[in-house]
Amino acid sequence: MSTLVKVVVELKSVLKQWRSDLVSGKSEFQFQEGATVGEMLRYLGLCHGEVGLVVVNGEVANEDRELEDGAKVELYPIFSGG
Amino acid sequence: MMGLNGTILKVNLSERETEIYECAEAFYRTYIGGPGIGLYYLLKKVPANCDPLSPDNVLVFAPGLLTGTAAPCAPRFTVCAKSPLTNALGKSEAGGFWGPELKKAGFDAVIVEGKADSPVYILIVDGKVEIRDASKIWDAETGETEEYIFMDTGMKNLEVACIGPGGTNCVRFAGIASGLSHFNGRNGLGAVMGSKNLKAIAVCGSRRVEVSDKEKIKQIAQWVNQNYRNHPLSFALHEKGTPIGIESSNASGCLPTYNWSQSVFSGAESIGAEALEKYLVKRDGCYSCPIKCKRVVEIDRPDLKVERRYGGPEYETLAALGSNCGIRNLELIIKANEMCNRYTLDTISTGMVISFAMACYSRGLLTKEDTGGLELEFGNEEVILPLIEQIAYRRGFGKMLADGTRRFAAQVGQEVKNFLLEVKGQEVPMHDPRVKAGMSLQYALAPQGADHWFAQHDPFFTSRESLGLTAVAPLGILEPISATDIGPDKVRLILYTSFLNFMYDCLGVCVFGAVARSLIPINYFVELTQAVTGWETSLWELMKVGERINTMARLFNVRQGFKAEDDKLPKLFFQLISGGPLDGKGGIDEKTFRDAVQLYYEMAGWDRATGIPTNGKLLELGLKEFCC
Repeated sequence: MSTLVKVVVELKSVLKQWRSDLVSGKSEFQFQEGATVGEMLRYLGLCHGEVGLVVVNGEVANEDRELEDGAKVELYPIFSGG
Repeated sequence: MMGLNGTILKVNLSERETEIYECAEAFYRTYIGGPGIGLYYLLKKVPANCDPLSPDNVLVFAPGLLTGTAAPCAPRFTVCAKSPLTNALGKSEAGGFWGPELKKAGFDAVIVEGKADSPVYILIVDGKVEIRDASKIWDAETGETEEYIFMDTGMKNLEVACIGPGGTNCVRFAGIASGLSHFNGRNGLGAVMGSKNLKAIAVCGSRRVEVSDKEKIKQIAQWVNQNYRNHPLSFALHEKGTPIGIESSNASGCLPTYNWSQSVFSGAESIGAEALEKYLVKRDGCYSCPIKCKRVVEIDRPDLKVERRYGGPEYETLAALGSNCGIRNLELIIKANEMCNRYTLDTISTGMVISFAMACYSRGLLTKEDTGGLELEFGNEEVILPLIEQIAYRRGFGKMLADGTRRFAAQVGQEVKNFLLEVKGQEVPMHDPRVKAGMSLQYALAPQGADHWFAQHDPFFTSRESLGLTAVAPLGILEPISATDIGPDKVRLILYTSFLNFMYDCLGVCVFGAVARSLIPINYFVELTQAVTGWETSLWELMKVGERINTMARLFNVRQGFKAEDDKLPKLFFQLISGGPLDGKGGIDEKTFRDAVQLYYEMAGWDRATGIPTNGKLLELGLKEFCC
């Protein structure tokens, strides 16, 4: 039987508007052990360029990063300075 | 000619004479508009070793090819001259409404030569040109300048591009304001206006810019209107504007802080997009663009007033005058932004020259005696507004800063090299090349000095799903590249997208409307160009225009004495990042960087060692008349 990991995902700024069902912008999700950041983004439906930065437990993470139990994930929207 | 007037206005201020050049279709098809037209005349008219603040310098205002039509997200015009900040090509784009109005007034560009013997402004109304007295408003801020011109002409429907005291006092990083809240901010082109005794160019046109296929343009404009809220970036820009970058740059450990000595700012949340909402009164935009990325703010209290007509701060301003100076008081930054806008000071260079002075002060290289009593500690809220005023009016300590960081640093001494952040004399914008490695090439290779819009930004190309990568497939860029990579694939990406960006500038297209970052696919611009002009053009022809203008810019700098060794990077970027999530990471390898610059030369058809365009490349690009 596979193990599940719990992660808390916080959506920052306009990402809340892409997922307005997650009212507070901060929600807990369960994934299969070994799930990656990329898989999480696909599950959340935020895999079309909406996310510009993923921070896991205070560290910048890429899509290959595995999610550990209890991880705190912050998602920031894509941006363009000018 | 469809989409064009076929006429370019030349104004000689010394002789107070005007002349109209009639240009053939082949000229426009070769140089298109914007910096293409600008560089053509700079190469023809600006002598080698010209003093940028002398009457010999030439100032060109040129809208893009699509500007003034209903083509979406194409409101821009370019101002070009030799820059008094860098002594290299000066080039700066602005959106707003001035460029479209010039086209409707009957001209595809305005060339300004010489120097008036007293302050003047140029009035252009439906093809008629007047040189009028501006002596009563020479010292005025932009708001009063615009009001005076409305009153003086009896016309309130003018679009006015003008300078405030920063420009009239020839601050070397003074910009040009149009409609009070749009700016050709960088490179000190406002100082060039000031040096010519030119306060403003006011335009009004009632002509329609005729196009070849109105229905096609309407169809694409409708598609943009229907889709901009569905695209991640144009949606984010509409909702939050560029300030949205403050929080994410801070979280990723690359927010310039304390003159770049740190990369995380504890006050970031207090100066970011969410905090700015409290002061937001309006989202504003430009001609023909539904995205409305600009923030308009207002504060109306007895102790602090900020007028909405001057717009609001962008990401660059919030970082340059905020975290970079250690300022966490958003109201102060909003006021500082408004003052820079009234005075026409570039907010990036202003923030950077102040933060540099603060860095000198913190090391004991400057004292209160040097600064006229100002205590230049990072985060000291008392010094920002007085310094902006001093810079604009060249008074007190600000007078030393008004010539830019490089010239000021030369007076402080050699010790400053490790925290001096400029390329070719232009202060770096708020993007860290240690996190976005391609930015190192952009800063080094942009002909106008450190610039973040020479090519596209690295994070848009890091995975197969990245917005940028999926969008630039028509250019043949197909594989993801790491943001910190600086190898041959990255050089190729920077090369191709530098052509793309020059092409956009020539068309008058705004980066926030177009791929690789945003909504409108590249091929739509080919269709729009066809629909506006009736030309049977192609992506190949338009990309070649981008390449042509990039090489013309290089040629201009070569003629002005620039060499390969000027394409360098501030020392700090070869050092590791200090603090935050990227602490101890990210220093660029110096040899790899140098190799990448030389590879760019080689790919561009420039000599690998000297960076000088080869005769073969000039001939291939149809630039025979500019061969040595």
